[in-house]
Amino acid sequence: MSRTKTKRYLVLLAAVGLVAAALGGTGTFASFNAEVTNHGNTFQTGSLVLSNTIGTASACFSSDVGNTNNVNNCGAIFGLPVDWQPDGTTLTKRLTLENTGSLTPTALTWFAPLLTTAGATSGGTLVCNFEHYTPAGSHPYVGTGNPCTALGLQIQEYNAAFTVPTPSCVWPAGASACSSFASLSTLPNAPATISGGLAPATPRYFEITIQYPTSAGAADNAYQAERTYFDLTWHIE
Amino acid sequence: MTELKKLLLGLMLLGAVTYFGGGGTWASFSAETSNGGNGISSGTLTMSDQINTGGLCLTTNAASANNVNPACGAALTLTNVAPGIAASTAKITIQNTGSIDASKFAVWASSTNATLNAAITSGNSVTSLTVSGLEGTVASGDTIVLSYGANTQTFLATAVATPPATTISVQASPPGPATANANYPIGATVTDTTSDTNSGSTAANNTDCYDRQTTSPGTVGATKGTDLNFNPILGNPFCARALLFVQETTGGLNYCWYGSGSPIDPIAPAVGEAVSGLCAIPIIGVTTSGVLTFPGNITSIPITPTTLNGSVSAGDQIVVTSGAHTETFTAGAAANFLIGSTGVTSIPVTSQAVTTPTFPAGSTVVDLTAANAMNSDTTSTLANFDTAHHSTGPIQLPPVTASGTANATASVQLAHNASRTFLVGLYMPAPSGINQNFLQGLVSTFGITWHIDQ
Repeated sequence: MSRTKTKRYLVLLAAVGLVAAALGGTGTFASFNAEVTNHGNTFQTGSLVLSNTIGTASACFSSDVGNTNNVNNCGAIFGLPVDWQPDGTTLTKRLTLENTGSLTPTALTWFAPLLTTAGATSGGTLVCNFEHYTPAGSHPYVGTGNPCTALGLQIQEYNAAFTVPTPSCVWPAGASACSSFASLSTLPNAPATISGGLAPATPRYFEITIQYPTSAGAADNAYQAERTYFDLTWHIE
Repeated sequence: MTELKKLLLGLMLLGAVTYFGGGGTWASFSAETSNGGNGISSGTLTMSDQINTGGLCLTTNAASANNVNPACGAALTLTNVAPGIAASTAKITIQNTGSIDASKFAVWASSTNATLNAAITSGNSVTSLTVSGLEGTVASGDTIVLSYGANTQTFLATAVATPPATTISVQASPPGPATANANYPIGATVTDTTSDTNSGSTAANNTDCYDRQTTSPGTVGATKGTDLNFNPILGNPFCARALLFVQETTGGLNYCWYGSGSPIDPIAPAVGEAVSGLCAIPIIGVTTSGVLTFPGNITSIPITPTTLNGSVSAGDQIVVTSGAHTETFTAGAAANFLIGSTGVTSIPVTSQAVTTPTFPAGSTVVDLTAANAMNSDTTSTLANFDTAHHSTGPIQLPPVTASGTANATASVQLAHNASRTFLVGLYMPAPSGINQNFLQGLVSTFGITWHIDQ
């Protein structure tokens, strides 16, 4: 190797040493790079919450404390005791449903859950059941009639003032305003759609009416001392 | 000083001595020429990030002064989301605005990061970092890297910092009192490098994607997340459920880099990229714009709207429904439509007779294949993107040469002046029969980082 070449090699080595020293000798020779970050992207879900108000009572919310699945067992529309008798009269309660969430559900449905024949707990086979009981101070009486087939139910939607019924009937389902009743034993167990849905902050108002059977004379005694149960579930999704 | 460094410095000294001390001792005769005036100038490697038609976010003017801009705008800010609602997307255009070709181009889930919001002076004691926009949870013991220009300093977090916290308590690394090794002005980057590995932290909580309960409702007056009692955020459940897709569309060529249908699935990678190069994205709210007459052979399904919010690949099962009647068709070979496609007035299908009564205009049209793929997808999630594709596991983005085909051996992945376009989107799946109430009123926050190398 010539002296000139040797000199060049040594100069090159010096340069390499200089660069390496400047970089700290770690072996990490950084190259050019550039980087951008799209920071703070957010993906936010809305909510579906159903409120259930009977008459002028406080609203019952599906999200109330103690309910960890957005399902709430709200109070009875027709609370005991209701000492009815076969006189053909009716008993009406008002119910207001509102979606207090932020999402518009695809459907508003209702149905009657299945109850056991022995009591009011769910999981049975009937949408309406009854049991015999002995009113306070009364002598026991075991009627043989089925009040679920004798009691009629009607669900009619109204305007906010409960003065003007909507053109259709929720139950018995029909295109015209309600004009009849259907027995409790025929309540739908499969979800039935109430057209129009339940948009947020747009309450819907219903009157739920029970009709007692008209008197059938001596046969009326078959319904004495019987306690009747049925549930109504309202659902949005 | 390392042994290597000592050796190299020795070589440098030897070369200098040789040059200056021995130059005239080799020969009595000599000749010499010089080529003066040589020059060399470095090129540049910079990039821009544009969301939809918004302004450019540049690396060159980043407050961190190190060609890293951690504060480009959010591409997706979506509220009031429900399962099964149309996917939402943003178009992100990445351009190499420098003069040098980038041999590597990659995308990954950001580390937990923020920018410094109060300057630190060299030589001063440092016990905490004041930050803005902390993205993700910092766990006690995490490694926190502060960077500005050529200066960096590594700290250790001494306490948990959960968004929207604006302070990270720190000490030196190794543990001890910390003194600033340089001036770090507002805008310097703050990165939790431990968040990429979750080492020493509480696993999934310490990721870039994190969940909170919403504090404002999706619509005025409605229930918000903090009103609910069935939506706990432990484990970032929405991050673990929300599906992400990164769909390239550069020059009309498609490639699904992440999402349902991508071969880069973190859990169950597909055998290969689909020929269409399309991520599976359900089309939502599409109806027929004309009658499908019974009897009669159908070769295309007229649809409205004509701007798709999902994708349709050839071979997908297209279900038309009117009342209780349904008819299933197969998308034809030409039916490769991507979300955002405009002017799509019909979906070609393989010739098929309508076997049920006539379907009127307004019948719903669903891409069952795409819907099933995404509604049953539990892997292409934000959480999996974060854990499988962080800075040390990036998704490399070689150039797409045809829809569904990328050239993995290309020497240049983002040429200077070139740009590549991506649709980045999210979808909340609606798995059949699964209650997802626990995801109501939650908000996931996450970042996406784009990176090029020389």
